[in-house]
Amino acid sequence: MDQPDDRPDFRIRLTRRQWLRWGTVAGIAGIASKGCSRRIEEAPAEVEPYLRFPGKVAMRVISDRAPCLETPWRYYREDLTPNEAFFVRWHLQAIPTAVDLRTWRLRVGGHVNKPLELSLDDLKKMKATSIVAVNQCSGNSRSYFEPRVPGGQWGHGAMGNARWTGVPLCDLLKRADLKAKAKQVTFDGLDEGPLPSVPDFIKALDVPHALQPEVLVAYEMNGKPLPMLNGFPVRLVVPGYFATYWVKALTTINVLDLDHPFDGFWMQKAYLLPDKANESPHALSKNVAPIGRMVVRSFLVRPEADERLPLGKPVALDGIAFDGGEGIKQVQFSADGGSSWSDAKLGDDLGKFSFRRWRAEWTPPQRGSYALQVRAVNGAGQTQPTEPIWNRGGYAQNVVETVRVHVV
Amino acid sequence: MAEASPIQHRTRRGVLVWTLLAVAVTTAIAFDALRDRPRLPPPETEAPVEMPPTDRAFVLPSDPPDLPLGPHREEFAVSCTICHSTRLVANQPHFPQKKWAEIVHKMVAVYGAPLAPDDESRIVEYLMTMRGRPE
Ligand code: HEC
Repeated sequence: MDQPDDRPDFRIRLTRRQWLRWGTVAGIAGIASKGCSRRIEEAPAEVEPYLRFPGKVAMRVISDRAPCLETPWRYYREDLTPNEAFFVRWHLQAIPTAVDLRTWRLRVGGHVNKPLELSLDDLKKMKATSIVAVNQCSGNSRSYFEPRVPGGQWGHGAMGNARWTGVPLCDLLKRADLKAKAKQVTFDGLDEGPLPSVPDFIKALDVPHALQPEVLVAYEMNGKPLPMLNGFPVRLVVPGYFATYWVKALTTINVLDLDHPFDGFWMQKAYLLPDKANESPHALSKNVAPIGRMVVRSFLVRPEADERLPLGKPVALDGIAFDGGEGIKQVQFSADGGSSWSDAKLGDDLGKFSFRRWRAEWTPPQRGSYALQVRAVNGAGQTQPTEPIWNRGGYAQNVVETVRVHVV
Repeated sequence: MAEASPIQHRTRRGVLVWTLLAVAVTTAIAFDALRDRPRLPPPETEAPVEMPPTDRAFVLPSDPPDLPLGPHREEFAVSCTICHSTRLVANQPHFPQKKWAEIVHKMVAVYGAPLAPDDESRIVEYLMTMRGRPE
C-alpha cells in the first residue's frame, strides 16, 4: 500500500533531508547563492521521482498507482521507441501483473452472427500485419497548459513510436460476421476499478472506423511481445488516433447495434474536446465531443533545453514530427524565435502514422541565448499554432515548441 | 625540528580554506542539482532491462511523497489513497480552493469516493496546505 509513512520511503527522505541540512550549512557559510537558500525555505516543487518498474528503464512517475510513467527524452533519438522506455498510462488501479495464457481468451461478441473466443495461439495463426504508428496520450504536455489543469501532469514524454504486429481488427470482425444493424464496437481490457463505483475503462469506435485496415489487435511491439505494462498479451492499435483508444490487455470486443449506442463514462464524460479549438476557463465551450485523431506536432530532440553550444561550429539539430495519419510533408526550424524559418531534411519514411525524423544544421552566429523552434506541415497542409490552445481537459496540445539553448 | 615558517602556516591555512570552500561549493552544486531539476535517471538505466515473466505476478514499486503536516492530513491519507496513489495528487499544480473543492467533489460524485459528509471540506482544507494557492 501507498501509505504516507511507509518505512523504506521514510529512510530515503531522511537522506534527502540530510542533503537539505548540508545545503543550509553551505548557505549559512555564505557560499551558497541567495537563490539557493531561498529555495530551501520554499515548499518542495512538484516532486518528480524516477522509478524502475518491471521491464522498464527508470522513468518519471506521474502516478505510482495506477502506473503512469513518462519516457525519458533521450529515447526519442531513435525512430522506434524501445519497449522498455515506452511510456505507460493506466487509469484504474487494478492492472494485470500476470496473464495465464492457458486460460486467456479474446472474446468477440454482441451484435454478431458468430461469436469468437480466441487464444493467443489462435490469433497468431491468423494473417499478421505490421504497422509503424505513434501512440500519444491525449494529455501529453498537459503540465505546460496555462492556466494549469488537473489530470496526469505529463511533460512531453507521453508518446512513443513502435512497429505493431497483430491481426487486423477487420479480419476478426469479418470472421465474427457483423449483423446488419452493427453500429459501434467497444473494447474492454483486464484493468478494473478499485471500487465498483469506478467506471470500467471501455472505449468505442464506430463500425466504419473499426473496419479500417490499419486498426490492429496487436500482440507484438517492435518484434517482441508487449511488455505487461503496455498491455500484454494484446492491445488495440488505432493508428492516427490518440492513445485513449488503444485499449491495453484487451479481452472483450463487443459489437453494439443502432438501438444501443455506447454511453460509457470514458467515452461520454471523459476525453472530451470542445468543438471549437479553444475555450477559456471563463468561457467553457458548451459543445464537446470525444477526442479522436491526433493533430500535427513536431519536437526538437537534440539539442535539449538549456544545452550549451560552442560558438562558430555547426550544430546538428534533429527531432521528430508526426500527425494523425496524413503523413509529414515538411518540417522547418527557426533559430530566432520564429522570425525566419528554414527547411529541415526529412529522414526515413516509416509510414504515414509514424514519427518522421528531421535533421538540420545550424551555425550560431554569436554568443547568447537562442529560442529554437520547429514546426511541421502534414499532407493535408495542416500545421501547428504559434499560440498554445487551451481546453479544460489539457488535451491535444500542438503549439510550436520553443527550446532555449545558450551559445558560449 | 625547525619551526614552521609563517609562510608555511599561511600556505596550510590557505589549503584548508580552499578545501573547505571546494567542499562547500560542491555540496551547494549537488544540493542545487537535487533541488532544482527533476532527478535524472541514473546512468545504469542504459543497461539492458529484463522483461519479467508474464505468468507470475510482479510487485509494482512505489515512492509515495511526503505529506506535509497540516489539519486533516489523516482524512486525506485515508480517503484519497483508496483508488490511486498520493503521487497523482501531489503532482498536481497549486490550485485555488474552488478548484480543489471541484476535484474532491468529482471524486465523490463521479467515482464514488466513500467520504463522510464533512470530509469533503476537511480534505479541501488539507489540499490547500498541500497544493493550494490564493484565488
Ligand atoms: C473511488 C475511487 C477514488 C477515490 C476514493 C479518489 N479518487 Fe481521485 N481519481 C479516481 C479516478 C478513477 C481518477 C481518474 C484516474 C485516471 O484518469 O487515470 C482520479 C483522478 C484524480 C485526480 C487527477 C485529476 C482528474 O480529475 O483526473 C486527482 C487530483 C484526484 N483524483 C484527487 C483525489 C483526492 C484529493 C481524493 C480524496 C478525496 C481522491 N482523488 C479519491 C478515483 C478516486
